Amino acid sequence: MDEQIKNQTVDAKTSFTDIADIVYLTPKDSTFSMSEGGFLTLISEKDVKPEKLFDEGEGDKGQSAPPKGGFGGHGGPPPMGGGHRGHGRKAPCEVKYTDDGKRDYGRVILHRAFPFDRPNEIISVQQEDGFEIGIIRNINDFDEKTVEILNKSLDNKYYIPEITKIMSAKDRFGFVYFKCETDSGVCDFVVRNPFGSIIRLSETRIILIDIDGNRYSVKDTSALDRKSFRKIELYI
Amino acid sequence: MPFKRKKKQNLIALALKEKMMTVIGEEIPIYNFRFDLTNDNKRIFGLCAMTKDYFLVAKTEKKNAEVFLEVYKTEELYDVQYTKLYGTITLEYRNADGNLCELCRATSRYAEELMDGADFLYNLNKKLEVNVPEKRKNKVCPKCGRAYRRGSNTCLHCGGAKKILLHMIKLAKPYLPRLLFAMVLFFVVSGLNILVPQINKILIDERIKAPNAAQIGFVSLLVVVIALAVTQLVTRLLSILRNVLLIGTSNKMVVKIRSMLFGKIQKMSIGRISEHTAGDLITRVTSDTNVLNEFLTYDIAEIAQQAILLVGVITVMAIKQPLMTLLAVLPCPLVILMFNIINKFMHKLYRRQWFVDMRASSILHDIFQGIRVVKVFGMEKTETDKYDAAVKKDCEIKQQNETLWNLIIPGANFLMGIGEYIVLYFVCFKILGQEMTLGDLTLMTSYISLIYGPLRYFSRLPRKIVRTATSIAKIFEIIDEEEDVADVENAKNIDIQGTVEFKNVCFGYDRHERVLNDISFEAHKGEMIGIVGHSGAGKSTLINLIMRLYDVDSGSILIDGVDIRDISQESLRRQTGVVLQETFLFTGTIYDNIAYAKPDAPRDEVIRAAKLSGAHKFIIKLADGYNTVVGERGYTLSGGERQRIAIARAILGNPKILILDEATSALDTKTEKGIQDALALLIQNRTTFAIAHRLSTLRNATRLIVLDKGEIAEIGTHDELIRKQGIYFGLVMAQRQMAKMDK
Repeated sequence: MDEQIKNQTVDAKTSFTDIADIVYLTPKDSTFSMSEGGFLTLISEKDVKPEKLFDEGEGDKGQSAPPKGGFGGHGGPPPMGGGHRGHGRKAPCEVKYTDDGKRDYGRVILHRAFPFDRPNEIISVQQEDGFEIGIIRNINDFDEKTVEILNKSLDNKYYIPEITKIMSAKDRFGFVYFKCETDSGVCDFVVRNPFGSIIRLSETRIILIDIDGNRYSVKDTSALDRKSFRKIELYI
Repeated sequence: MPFKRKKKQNLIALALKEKMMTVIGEEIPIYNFRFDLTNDNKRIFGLCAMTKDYFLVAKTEKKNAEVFLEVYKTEELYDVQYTKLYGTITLEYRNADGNLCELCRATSRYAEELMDGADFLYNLNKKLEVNVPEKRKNKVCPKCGRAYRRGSNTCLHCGGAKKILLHMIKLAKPYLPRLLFAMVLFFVVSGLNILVPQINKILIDERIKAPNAAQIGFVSLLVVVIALAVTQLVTRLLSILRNVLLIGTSNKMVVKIRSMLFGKIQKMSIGRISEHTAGDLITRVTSDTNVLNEFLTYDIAEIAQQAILLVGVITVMAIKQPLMTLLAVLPCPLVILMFNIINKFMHKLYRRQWFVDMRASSILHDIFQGIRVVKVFGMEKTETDKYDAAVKKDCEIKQQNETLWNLIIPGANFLMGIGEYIVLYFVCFKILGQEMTLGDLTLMTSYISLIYGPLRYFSRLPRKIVRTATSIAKIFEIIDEEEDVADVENAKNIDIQGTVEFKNVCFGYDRHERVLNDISFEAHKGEMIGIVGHSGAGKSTLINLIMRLYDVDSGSILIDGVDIRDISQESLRRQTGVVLQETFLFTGTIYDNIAYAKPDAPRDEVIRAAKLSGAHKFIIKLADGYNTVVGERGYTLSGGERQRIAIARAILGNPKILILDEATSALDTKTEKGIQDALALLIQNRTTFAIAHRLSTLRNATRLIVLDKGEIAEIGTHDELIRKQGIYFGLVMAQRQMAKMDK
């Protein structure tokens, strides 16, 4: 009996999942709200601070030093995590607490970990400087009002027009000129190198990336009308 | 389509500007930029403009709709900043109450302009030095709205055609007499082709079927047959001559273009080159020039030949039998149309096949590249299945296409010949009515087949021309590109002594992301400058600037008091020796790799360099010694061995400025120390810049520069910096702790 327990504890310690921890933000400990300017804010019982191991010191792979006397004027660190955030001029966020001892993170930014296949799950909540506070396991765990706020914030951040109809697709000199109806209006865009820039996520799901880096999505190619499908068929 | 759009946009912009003028009057805005989204990501037409006092945001939903205008006092916009979201970018500010608000939002299309605007507005507010941002280079042709290729600003559609033609004429000039002669041959060959049916007619009408056929002698029959044979022979001979002439000329032209192209790519700056992928450049040098070659060699000849033949046949026919000609030509447009449709259809099919093919081969490429990972994780079965599926799909589509092709083409060919049957019917009718002879029948049918041949060819032509035009445009796009890091007109060749001075140098690969900021220092001859800092601090960038792989944005770099931009690149690079972070060895022997920059170096010099860099020790143990072939298909060297060869390569030129970018990072500490001590002797008379993460590497450095976020944080000797207890001190302490742990 004793031996069994001993074995179990050994097992528990050797699994990496026990060492690496994910901070999940749950309805119990976190309150999201919308600020006056329409920005998402967070107050949480969880007081997350940068870990010494990775979060301090080195910046990301570089080429991102802020201009002298940059915005905000505090001369803060270069953005971390690279990629999506381009403030380039944010001071480290202040640590503030509410009167009842909860941490007030101020403005937070949501970032989908799986924007294509799990848009509502595993959502990283980050501070303006890119520091990750924690993760929302599933938006729908929260109450209705919060869900609305979170969805609004996500819709606000993620701009991937959904193509509903392809009006024309012309191939000229290796560029494809699209004119499409999308859920955010009619879009004209140009795709360079359709082989590389039209990404097939599954049999029916595709993402188009235009020359400016905008993304357009077709959730279900088989749901497109026949004419539209014929225009894009060549590239998928 | 792009034209129309452009016009509509201009009209809307005009409406927005008019609305703005109600506030600012005739004042011309200092800067303006477009945006195209509302705060909840709906498409919109928007324009921002700023004057000294106002910031204006005008937007409208569509043409002729109401224009909304927001007016802000510039000084009331605090902390202006931009935030890149996903696919969009927003301009934000803090209002008087300290709340963050959004000014406007754009898709990535206008991101750069918006970022410029944000910078500008911020500086304006902080009363900092204000530089009006220059307008961004267009990504699309302002004339037709079509996109430029990456790293290019010539439109393949608009500017291209005329320029390309001029280029080609210029290239063809030396071969003009040959080409003219070939042209004459074209006419002769076509003429002979038209002549053959005529002789046939004579054979039938005046010999075989002649009323006095019985009296026609053996000789006169022979004459006609020989005439027929001779015409055929001459046609063949002249065709051969013509082809030889053309192939020779076009090959020479293509070789010239290829070397022009390659030379130009070599001259391009690193910045420009990295805008293209290696694959892209390789395609341009090889397959694009090949397409051009094919076109010049075969297609031009074919086009000329077929066109002359077509016109010739129709003229001859029209003179003899106008009505019949009309009947024969009448279905032509229909036939061309039909072939066009078939071609389009087939193109679609084959394109799909090509895509599937590409996918299968990219799977293959991927798996072979990562074969170690596949094996280590035991995924052979999965990968095999993946490839099987792709190949199966490929096979299915191919089979489908072939079946379709074989169904369509014979039918189409039959339809194409339908005119022939119409003519046949009429000719036979006339023969019965004694108006025409049997000879006329053969004449007409051969002429008709002569017409349909070129027609069939011409229906395929547009696609070929587009393909070739694309290739030509891609070639000349590079050849015509302006050099950005070019030598000035009277660049000096100087003998470098070794003093390097940075004066307020600022630099960024991208305008918004400064990598180096206000860097000033002076390195004297004989000094070894160690450069340290976190990754991403700008160390490698700094040395890139010393080598002038890029030009500084502002400030200057002086070598022996001369601006680096006034020194010829050839003389600068000849006198600098570099060991880069990634040590690349060309396919060839070790000896060739060391002697790369100085191929005429005496053997004993090369060996000395190898000895100094610690490479000799292991080279001499290899079976083939210095003749060992390395590179992709040769002997694989370890990281440390490569580095030692790279060091030997760098010191062989006896450079006045030596640059070591992590030159000894892959070596164990003992070997490194050996090389260090050897190098210490070497660096006495030259200036050395060394980057290293392992700080012990820099123990011989006379001074250290600590870079932090693109600025010089600390500068001084090792002892000075330790006493200062700043960033360097922190780094040293951290590494000491690590070293202790290792023990």
